[in-house]
Amino acid sequence: MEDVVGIQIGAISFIDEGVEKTLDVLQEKGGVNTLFVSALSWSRGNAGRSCVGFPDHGVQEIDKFTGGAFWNPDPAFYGNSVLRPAKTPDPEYGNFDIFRDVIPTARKRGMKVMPYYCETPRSTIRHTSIPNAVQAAEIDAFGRTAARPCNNNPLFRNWFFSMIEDWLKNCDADGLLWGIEQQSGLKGLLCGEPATCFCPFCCAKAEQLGIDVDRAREGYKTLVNYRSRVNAGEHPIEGYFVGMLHILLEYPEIFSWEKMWLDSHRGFHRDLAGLVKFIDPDKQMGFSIWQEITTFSPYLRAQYDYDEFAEYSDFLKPIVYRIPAGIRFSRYIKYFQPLLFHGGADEQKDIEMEEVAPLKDMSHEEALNLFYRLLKLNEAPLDKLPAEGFSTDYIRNEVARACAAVGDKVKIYPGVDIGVAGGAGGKDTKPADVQASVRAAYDGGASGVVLSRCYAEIMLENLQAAGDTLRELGRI
Amino acid sequence: MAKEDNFVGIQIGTISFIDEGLTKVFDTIQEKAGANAIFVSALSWSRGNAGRPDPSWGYADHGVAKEDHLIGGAFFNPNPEYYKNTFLREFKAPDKLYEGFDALGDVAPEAHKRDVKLYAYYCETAHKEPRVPVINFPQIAEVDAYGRKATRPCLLNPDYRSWTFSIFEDMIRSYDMDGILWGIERQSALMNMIDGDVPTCFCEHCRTAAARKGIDAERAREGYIKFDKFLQRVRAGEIPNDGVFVTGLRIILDYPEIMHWEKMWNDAHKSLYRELSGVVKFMDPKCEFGLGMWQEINTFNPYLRAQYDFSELARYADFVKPVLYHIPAGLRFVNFAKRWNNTIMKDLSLDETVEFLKRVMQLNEAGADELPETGFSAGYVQRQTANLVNSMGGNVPVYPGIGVGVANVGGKKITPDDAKAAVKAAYEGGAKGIMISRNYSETQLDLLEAVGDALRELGKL
Repeated sequence: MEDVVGIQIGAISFIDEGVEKTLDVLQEKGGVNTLFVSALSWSRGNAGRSCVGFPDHGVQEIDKFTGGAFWNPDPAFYGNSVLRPAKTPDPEYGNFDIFRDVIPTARKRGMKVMPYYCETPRSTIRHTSIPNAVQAAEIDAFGRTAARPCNNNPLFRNWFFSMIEDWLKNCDADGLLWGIEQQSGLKGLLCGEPATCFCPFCCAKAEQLGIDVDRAREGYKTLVNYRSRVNAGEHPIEGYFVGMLHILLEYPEIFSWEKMWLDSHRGFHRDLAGLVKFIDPDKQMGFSIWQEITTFSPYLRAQYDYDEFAEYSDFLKPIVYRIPAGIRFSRYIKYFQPLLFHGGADEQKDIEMEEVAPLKDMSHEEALNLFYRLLKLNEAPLDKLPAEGFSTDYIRNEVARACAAVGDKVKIYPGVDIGVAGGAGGKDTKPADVQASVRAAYDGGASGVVLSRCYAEIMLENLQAAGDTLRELGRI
Repeated sequence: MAKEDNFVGIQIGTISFIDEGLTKVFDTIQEKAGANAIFVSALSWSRGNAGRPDPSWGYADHGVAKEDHLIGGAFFNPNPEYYKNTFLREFKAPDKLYEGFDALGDVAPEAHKRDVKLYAYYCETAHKEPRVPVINFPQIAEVDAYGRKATRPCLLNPDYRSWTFSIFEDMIRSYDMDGILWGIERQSALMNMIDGDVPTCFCEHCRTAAARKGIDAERAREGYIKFDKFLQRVRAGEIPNDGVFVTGLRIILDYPEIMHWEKMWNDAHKSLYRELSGVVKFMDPKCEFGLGMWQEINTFNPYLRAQYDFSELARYADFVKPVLYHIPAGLRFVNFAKRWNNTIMKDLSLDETVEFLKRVMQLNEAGADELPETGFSAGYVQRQTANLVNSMGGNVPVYPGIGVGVANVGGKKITPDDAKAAVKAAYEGGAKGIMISRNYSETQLDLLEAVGDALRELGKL
């Protein structure tokens, strides 16, 4: 069987460049045989034009991206859903339907088409174009409506079940790629997000599980208040790490809530997998796994075990964007390090220990090295990391880790970066980088690749480099 | 002797009074170190706290240089009247060396004649050994997650509590004492497991308490066993695909009941010494209740440091003695780090583990390869004292335990200069006094003299 060579692509590329031309480019240069289309998205990175510079194709103009549905939903599928997907209001899209207008052409070329939907861990992306979506939003520990949808809210769940049925049955997509990028309350609050979710559905579920809702809420609130004090410059006598651990040990209900959230999240994914197979056992169910899970966060890596995905996935796309990982991981470390490991020096000043040299906080470099060890990474020092990115060993090892965990039951198609905006200060991805990444993915045991992040961001020479490498490897 | 507003305590085992005589011991500690309080190990099964030094540690330049083969128990004469609500009644030390000597009854008159305060000192043990050889003791012992009797007493066992309350009542009512020092040196199951011990306690009393709190005992037990087996595999050299730390964390996150059990154990531990504080005040509001704080809690272990909030000690302690043995700390800290490095922090090198622990515990000491030979700095004593004073809002006197005579085989020998520096650092950190530690029988006389010299230089004597 031919390897899967997928690419993520938004509707805007087909509109800007034409369906036939786009598919020509993808097939001829990149050897692409599977399209992961952003049929529903509020994320410019996944569905819009490039947000950081333009590649050498497409329209060189920033789009007024709002997001929403990029196909024409069939109302018949939404009988049990209060939420109805609304077509994106952005004028560029007109009556374009990413399934209706792409699938027939793609099929003629032997290409598969699957919708790709990616969750969001951030509050910044909200389903504002969907009437009533706010009623499916999480509620934080302080009782405030937050931004992300709650996995236990039936409005949200039914909405997605309806959409997926619409996509697979009505639109005849070949499967589903679901991007796992949400995070639990504790991890979220470390990122400055609200501590969620305490909606009535989560509270009822907790009560069924025997979890003390009030204690859990109090624990999260204590953590949020601790975060606020730390951000305001307060230095706990016992140090930041111990100070936070103290709260966690005092409120074990936080651990119960974390597990409940995680089980709900994973439970939703299992439901999705079951739904896909209910519709048609031959339809493919894939999960894209956020790089913070696969690579950056020991906490998230501990929560999400590759092994478990083998129970309900046909394929996995672990995100291993190695070039942007350099700037992203360095930012990640700089963001987290102050709260967890910002211990010491100022406390010494507070108690006027004059004859002792001031203690130094755990430096960014020390925090980076700690994370490298815990995550089994062997990458560049902090000052070189943004410019160098991660190594090809990283891809090889991570793919091998995934393959070892899932065995033969699940295919691994790593998300290889051939054009991902990492941000200012990061390295640009060059054809040689792409070639090395693709080779490393196969060295690690991959059964295919997903060229990422989005065609609208990708330079054609990088696409060509990916295709050339696949041909050299005899994979296409 | 120490000035009235200064506190100079010394820990001392009964054996020293027997070996050297009351007069000589009091003369020595008063003249050389200016001690004005003694903490007698009136109940102990620990050689380090109560006996002569182990021969492997070397003998001090006083006392009897001969192994005592300590068994231990009560070195006072328990009054049966106070033990009617407990089946633990036969716990007098059986050692022949102590026959005819009452550690509290015989010492109190001499102490008070000299205006030296007398305290009884008992220290818990975090370790499996020594096993308490008291008849019926196994009936109060913990039960591990596999269902086996373990060795330490269960904190929720009502008979352990009754026995301890009886001992306190007996000591306070039967003897003319100034107070009791309780040494906090136990740890919850997760930390015991990292030390190679079994996860405890799952006795009927703990299970009942868990049921009242709505904790699923079977899930907790399953989680601990899973974590225990994981640690065993790691010790045997198995490196999980996802890394040791991540895999261990995954078990904890998958079994939040473990964290509930940890808190239940920790709450039980704290409630015991809160109740003991009340027991002391019930007997005599003037009788002082002090808490000794294990060095693994105050210095080495971030998990234990997070479990014990020093600020709350001010509510029920008349004084606090943090163990700050700075020279032995070098070797001990590295040994502690090795236990973590051999298990949950195996992803790191030993050096990296030590550096990580130093950072999160706010320690500014030497590296792993130098620490045994350098020990901790005197500045450590100053900083830790100041931290504790600040944590308790300055409301409770802090008497840091100064490591003057502490076995440190394989580590640096404590010198008079070390002792002097530590004493001065303690006062600079805000101490209201000091505790000369660990045990008089281990302490070289020149070190006692050094403590006295430092106190004189500070104008504290």
